[in-house]
Amino acid sequence: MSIFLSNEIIVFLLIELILIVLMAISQVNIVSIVRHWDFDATTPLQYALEKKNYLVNTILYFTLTCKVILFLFFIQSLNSLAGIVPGAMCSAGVVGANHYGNALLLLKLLLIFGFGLWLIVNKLDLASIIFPYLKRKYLLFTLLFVGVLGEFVLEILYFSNIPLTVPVFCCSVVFQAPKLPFGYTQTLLVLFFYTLFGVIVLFNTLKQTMASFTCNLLFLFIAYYAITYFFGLYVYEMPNHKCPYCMLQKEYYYIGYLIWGSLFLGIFFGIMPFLIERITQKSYVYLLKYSSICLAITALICSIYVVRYYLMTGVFL
Amino acid sequence: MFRKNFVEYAILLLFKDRNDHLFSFLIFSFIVFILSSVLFISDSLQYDLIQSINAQPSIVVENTRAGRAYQMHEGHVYDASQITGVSSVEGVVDGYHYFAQKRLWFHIIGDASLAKDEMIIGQGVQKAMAELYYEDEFHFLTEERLIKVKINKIAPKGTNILSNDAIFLNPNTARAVLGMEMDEYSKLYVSVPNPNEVGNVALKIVEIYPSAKATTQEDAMSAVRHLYYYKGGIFMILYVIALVSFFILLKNQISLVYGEKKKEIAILRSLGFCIKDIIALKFIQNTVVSVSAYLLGVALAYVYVFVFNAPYLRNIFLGNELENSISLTPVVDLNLLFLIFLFGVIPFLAFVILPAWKIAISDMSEAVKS
Repeated sequence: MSIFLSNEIIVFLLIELILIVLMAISQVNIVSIVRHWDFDATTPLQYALEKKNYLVNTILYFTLTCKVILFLFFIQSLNSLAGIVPGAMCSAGVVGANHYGNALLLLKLLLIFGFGLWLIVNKLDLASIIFPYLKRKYLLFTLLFVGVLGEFVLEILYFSNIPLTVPVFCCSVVFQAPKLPFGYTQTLLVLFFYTLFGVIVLFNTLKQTMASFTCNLLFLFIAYYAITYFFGLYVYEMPNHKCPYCMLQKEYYYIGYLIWGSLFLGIFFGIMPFLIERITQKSYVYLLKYSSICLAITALICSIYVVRYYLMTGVFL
Repeated sequence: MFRKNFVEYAILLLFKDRNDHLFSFLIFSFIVFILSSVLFISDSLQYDLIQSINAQPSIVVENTRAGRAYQMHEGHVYDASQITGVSSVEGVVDGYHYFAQKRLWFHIIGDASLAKDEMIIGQGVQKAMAELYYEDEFHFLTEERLIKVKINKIAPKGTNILSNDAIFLNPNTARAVLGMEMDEYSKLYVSVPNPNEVGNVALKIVEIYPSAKATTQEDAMSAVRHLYYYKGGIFMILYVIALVSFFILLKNQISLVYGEKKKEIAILRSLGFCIKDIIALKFIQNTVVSVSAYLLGVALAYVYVFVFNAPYLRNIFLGNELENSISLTPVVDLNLLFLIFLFGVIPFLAFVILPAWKIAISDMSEAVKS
């Protein structure tokens, strides 16, 4: 019995492989573009390179779209793997089955952020007539390509190390309360969550890109812990069910997709303006507004669950 | 890029050139049809098996000796019922009877509600017996004697995959047929009301009887899933090879077709379409082709599997030792449709990018001249 016989994993790896081949094709083209690019030249070579530019763009649009879809598919495959990995009740057990799981998820998320950044830089690049950021954009692409290759290796390592005979831990064991990092308590975590949210909204309105960037990165981790260890309890309405994945399931009306989706979008919009400023020296602050909106949605949904529980039972968990 | 007129134009153009896309459309819908039929069948069977496991008690205990299944007796029942958390223990008679004339195995299940000389049989069993003219009565041949049993009733043509080869008999008759002593059981059904305690109770039973095998509901389900993952996985791997060769064919075919259309593209370019627009145009067309082929394939598979009960193909999963007269329960999982969509449509579009780009950048002055 091998995990590679599972339908989801076969499909997933095949599509990843196709995307890698496509990206490799663009990478080959990129090397020749970056080496010979001279915008002022009127040689046939330069025209050919400009045409290649279109290919790279198309491939990247396609790859990004597929990557986002695949990310959702990955989460869903983990859920269905929980049925064959002994001991796993939801994705938590499958992700925690070996130490590659969590690193893989984080890398996937960062890569999607990276692709988003590339798209925005590309848009700015194409909007100008002289392709001002071409070399930087392609450097970024090369980094992303390396990231995707690393991701693929990590995926293979991860899948081949999932044990199918030894039971793994289920989510209530993985996320036990005494294991809260840095000695946080739940109250402290919630306090941090709301304070940091307020600070981000403040910085976003003041258009302080660098401060917003730092706070958003910090918020990614704080919000993860706060949702897992505090808000999740109210979603599940159980005092010891701590799990970031179960809320993605049908039993909780797929609310997890909304919570995590708006959180990640908010953070994406929050960190982009600073990075774009670094790369292009252009201000791109209007994204910060969306950041505030998305994060507000996350905070609102989380708070609604807490309030609803309090109104129903009269106590906090 | 995706203005309404533009999309409309792309689709009009697609209908004008429909013969060029017919090949990819038909083959792709056929491929999707085969894949979704197999997945529908395996999903539907899995669903039935898991439903029937859900109806079973929390733990099934079987005794083994030298690695083979072995009888259990009242002592086992008593010991198991003494474990804290167990609400009831039921000994059952269950086994297989070889029907030599047809070279088939019947699944004998004890049912206390039946009288000594009557039985209920499944659809498949009825067919096999009728062929040898056992219509009102059946004779079980055992080592010692011949046991006559009236055929009382035929299990309704249900969806239950398990009852197809089953014969329900009074437990004592069943023991006689299976060659067991009185007061012997082949399995114990242990009911545990609290689902959180099931695992622990199973461990305790194994502690008392180290040679016994205690299978919890969860274990049974994961065994079913394992089996279907295995069968489906082997199929999937073969399928990947077919799929990849189809896509390479597709890429060549599209390049060929687009090569003939150079003039058209050149005219579009000179009208003011840029390279990006041409790529988008081709992309929209192929999205329409692949998505409609996908929908057609899935719809055909649905009809084939759930209306016609998947002739031929279902033998991969069921085997045809006993004429299978079960009908497949129509279950269509959205996740499954999503999986088929990803598996087909995304690679399809990926293989279109290169030809579309090549035709979009081709030298237009030369194309118009020729």
